[in-house]
Amino acid sequence: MVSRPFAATFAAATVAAALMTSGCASSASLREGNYEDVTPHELHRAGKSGDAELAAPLRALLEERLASGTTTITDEQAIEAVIALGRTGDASDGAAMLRVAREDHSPDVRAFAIEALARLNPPLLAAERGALLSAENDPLVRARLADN
Amino acid sequence: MSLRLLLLLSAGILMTFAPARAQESTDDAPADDLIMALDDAIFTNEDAPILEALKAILQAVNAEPDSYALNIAAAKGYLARADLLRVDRQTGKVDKAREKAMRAQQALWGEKGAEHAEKAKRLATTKQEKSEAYRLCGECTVHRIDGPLSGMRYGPTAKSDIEFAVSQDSTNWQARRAQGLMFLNNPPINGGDLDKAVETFALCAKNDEQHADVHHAFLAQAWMKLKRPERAKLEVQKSLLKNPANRLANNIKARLQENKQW
Repeated sequence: MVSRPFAATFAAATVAAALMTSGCASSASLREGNYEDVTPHELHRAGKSGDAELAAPLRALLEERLASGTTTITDEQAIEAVIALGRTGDASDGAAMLRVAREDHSPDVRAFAIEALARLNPPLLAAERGALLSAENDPLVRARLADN
Repeated sequence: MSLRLLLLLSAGILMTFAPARAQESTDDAPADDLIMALDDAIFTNEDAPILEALKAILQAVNAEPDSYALNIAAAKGYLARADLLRVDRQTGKVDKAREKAMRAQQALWGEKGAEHAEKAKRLATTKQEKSEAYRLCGECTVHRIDGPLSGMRYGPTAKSDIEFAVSQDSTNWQARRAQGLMFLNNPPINGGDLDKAVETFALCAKNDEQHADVHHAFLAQAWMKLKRPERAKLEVQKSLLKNPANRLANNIKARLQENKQW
């Protein structure tokens, strides 16, 4: 007969293994650079994982979006990538986030980028707030700048 | 009861109703003005102005019981009152005892609104008119659900009315929003699906500028249910930019401020 503590440990280990596998599988496209294939749900999970190694591919995804315009990476993917990078990145990702806040065509993405920048690198946002405000026409993004 | 007392009572009843009837016959405010006043009142997200506008509309409906537009407006007025109660019950700070009373009141407004919407269904002549009448009937009927039994009774009717409304006019964004509310508020076993709710409200917000504050507020509520406060926050901001008085957006904003998280 299997003892209770053993059964509980086995079950917990199985669940943890399943979660780790699904996490790896969901971030595979992101790690491999197949950004168009990464779903918003996967990007959300990447952010929740807090895995610092995902910061580089997330940054690359956002850079590809800026480089290619609207065609490859959707607004929804970009929003989730910005949120995920805000959670997994550090102050050194501030410059990439500032570029998104300045250049992305979607006001929603810019608004989230400001929030993420406030989290990643508050001094950089403080230094750039004036320039961002003077270049920004969207009331939503302006409100975000005023809030952060 | 003596004859004198009976006469006095009859006279009293006549005196009570006479001014109202006189006012009805002389009140020739065009229906459009009354409907516009109701829309303005609904935009305030306050019960008192909605009640005021609804009273005027009910008086006009009494004078013109077969008016499609006035019956639609009456149903809208009751629905708006019931909606406000639901918003406060779901997202405001309401104690248990008051919540129960509000729920009962909500069911009553739903019932009264459904009566006018049922009438509008019969008076509707075009697909668009039918769509709006069925949408209102479905939404008012949803408010009548205050437990599992009434859910079994009214749930399927409400659902079929709202689905019919969308089938009659796929650009009736209020009907699409009503569908989104079913995804938002129903448990999964009854067709609830938060991802579909987000998708539906986003589509409505994109296509229906007139009610954008409402769509964004529901989108925020859906994100909150998905435990995504950072996404809810943006939708709250969008809703309040369109209408600073939006009750649902303000309630969610207050919750977000209480529980700061990213």
